Amino acid sequence: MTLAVDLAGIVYRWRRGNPVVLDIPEFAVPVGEKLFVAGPSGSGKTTLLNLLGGVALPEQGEITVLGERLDAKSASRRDRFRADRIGFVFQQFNLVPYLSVIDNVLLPCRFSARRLANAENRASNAAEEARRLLTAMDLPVEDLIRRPVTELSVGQQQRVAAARALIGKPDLIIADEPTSSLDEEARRAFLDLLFAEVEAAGQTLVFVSHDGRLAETFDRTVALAEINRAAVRDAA
Amino acid sequence: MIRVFRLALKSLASRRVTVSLTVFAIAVSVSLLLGVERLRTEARASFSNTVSGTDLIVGARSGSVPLLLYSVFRIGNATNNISWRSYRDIAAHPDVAWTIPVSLGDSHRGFRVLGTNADYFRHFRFARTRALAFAAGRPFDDVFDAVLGAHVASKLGYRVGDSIVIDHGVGQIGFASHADKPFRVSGILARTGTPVDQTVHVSLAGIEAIHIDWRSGRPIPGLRIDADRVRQMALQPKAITAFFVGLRSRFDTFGMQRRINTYADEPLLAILPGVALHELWSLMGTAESALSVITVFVVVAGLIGMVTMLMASLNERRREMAILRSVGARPHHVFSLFVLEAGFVSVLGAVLGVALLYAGMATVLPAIETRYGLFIAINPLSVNEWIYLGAVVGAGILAGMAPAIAAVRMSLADGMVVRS
Repeated sequence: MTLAVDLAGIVYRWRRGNPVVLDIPEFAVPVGEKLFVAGPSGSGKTTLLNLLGGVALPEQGEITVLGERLDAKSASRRDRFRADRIGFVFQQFNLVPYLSVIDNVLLPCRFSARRLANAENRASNAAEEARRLLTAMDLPVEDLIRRPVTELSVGQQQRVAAARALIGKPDLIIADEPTSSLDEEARRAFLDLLFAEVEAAGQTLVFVSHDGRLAETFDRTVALAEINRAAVRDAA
Repeated sequence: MIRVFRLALKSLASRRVTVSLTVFAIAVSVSLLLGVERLRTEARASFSNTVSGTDLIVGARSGSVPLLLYSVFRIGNATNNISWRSYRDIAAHPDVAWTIPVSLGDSHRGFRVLGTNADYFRHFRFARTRALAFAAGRPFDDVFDAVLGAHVASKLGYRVGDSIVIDHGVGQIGFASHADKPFRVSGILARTGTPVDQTVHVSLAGIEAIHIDWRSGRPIPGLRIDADRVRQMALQPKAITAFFVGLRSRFDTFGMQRRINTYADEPLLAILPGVALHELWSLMGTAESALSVITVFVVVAGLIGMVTMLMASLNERRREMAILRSVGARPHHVFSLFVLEAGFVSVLGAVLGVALLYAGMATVLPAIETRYGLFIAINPLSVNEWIYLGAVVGAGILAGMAPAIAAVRMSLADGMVVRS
């Protein structure tokens, strides 16, 4: 079984002298898994995401994502790695306000030749693939593309963000509370659509949320407090 | 750079109002910078073009600048005249190729009247080598003929054959006029862009004729000599105001200047027009460079406005930066985005500034021409002006680096998630 994410002996703090935010002896996610990471805000969630995305580096420990040691890479290689291999969806305000819906979805293709090539392989061109993903996300594409993204409902914005995370078939999708601003029904629909795409493309999904009710549909659930010893200490 | 090129354009387009105000501020400063620069060079060029080919200007002993001012620019008055005898004596010197006598002191509706002879039209040169040309008519022939400068004719609407009356003195409103001896316009000169355009030329005999029955600035009571009788009289002037000298060889200039300045019979002053022009221009140099410094600071103020706009937008753009980072934008992309935005704003400002400059010139220059007789051609941008524009854009890009660096720092600290 190959691992999409493999953390070992991670220690992280903002600065030397500050308290330890993350202390993760080990944490692994197999390829193709849909993992739910439960954690209230302040449990080191954001830091974990920044580590997985290669935006932050730990003080100690090894981060292996999709078989590559991020802690051994330079900042610009980590940026390139993130662009090529990982798709992100965040809590809200996920879209660049001055870009059209299509341009927002195509944003990763602008910074990653690999994802552009993947998108072009999948459809006649990248914009076509963006439309396909938006349709798969159950969005009325023809109606949406004429409107500024700021006019979209929050639910629509999140689905556009999901399409952006999925375009160009990155191996790992990381979602950070993408549904917290959605109502129950929209939340359900969002997850179903996301799962369908992830499963079809064989991608790994790491879904972080404080809302434990969502956990049941995932392959596995991990509480951040269980893997993060710093959080345990804080709680104690 | 290419990756964020379109992003920068769209980002600016989304902030149309603040961006266009910033662009406009820069445009105004750029047009001011170019406008002042253009006026400066044009003024300097037309200034040094006022008299050419004249080796010496001779007048009563005063200073070189006053002599230049009244003889060439028709500004101010001579402190003293020089005698006809001294003039003839110097004019007869073998080294002298030609002379142009000049007699000033009267005016016509605010324009100076210059008494001279036919040599004026033959020898006077301006703008390096250009000679005076007639737009209409011919040089004066009769005692009461007058030749008008282009501006005088166009401003007052005179044509050849019209009759004009010369005022005594040089005030805007003549206290007394020589109404009994009207002149006839015999010719109108082509435009020169020099004070010649604003001058009424008559013969020395004409000047003599209108003053024949005058003493001490007013008509002699009881003495009336009409125009026809005057023509019969000897109209040899006893004095003139100044004269221009052309030498056979320029190598004799300093020798001749010394000879005139040490002339025994009368205190005279001979000046080299080029040297005096330079001296006069340097008097204005301080004001001129002060103006340049001010315009540069106006441009700096415009660019500071742009930096302010970009800096002010930083906070509201933190999420945008975080999104860009999450999709793989590297710090240099964030940097380029802001620098490109500054670059676009500067380029737009420069382009609009040039447009404003030309629009301004098209509306203002005709007014300057009619009011001051200063003709400025609307030329394409000079190499110098391109350099200025390049410097403005370069400075704009450089200034844009401040918000760009701030944005990079902010986005590195934020990572992919903005904590609010």
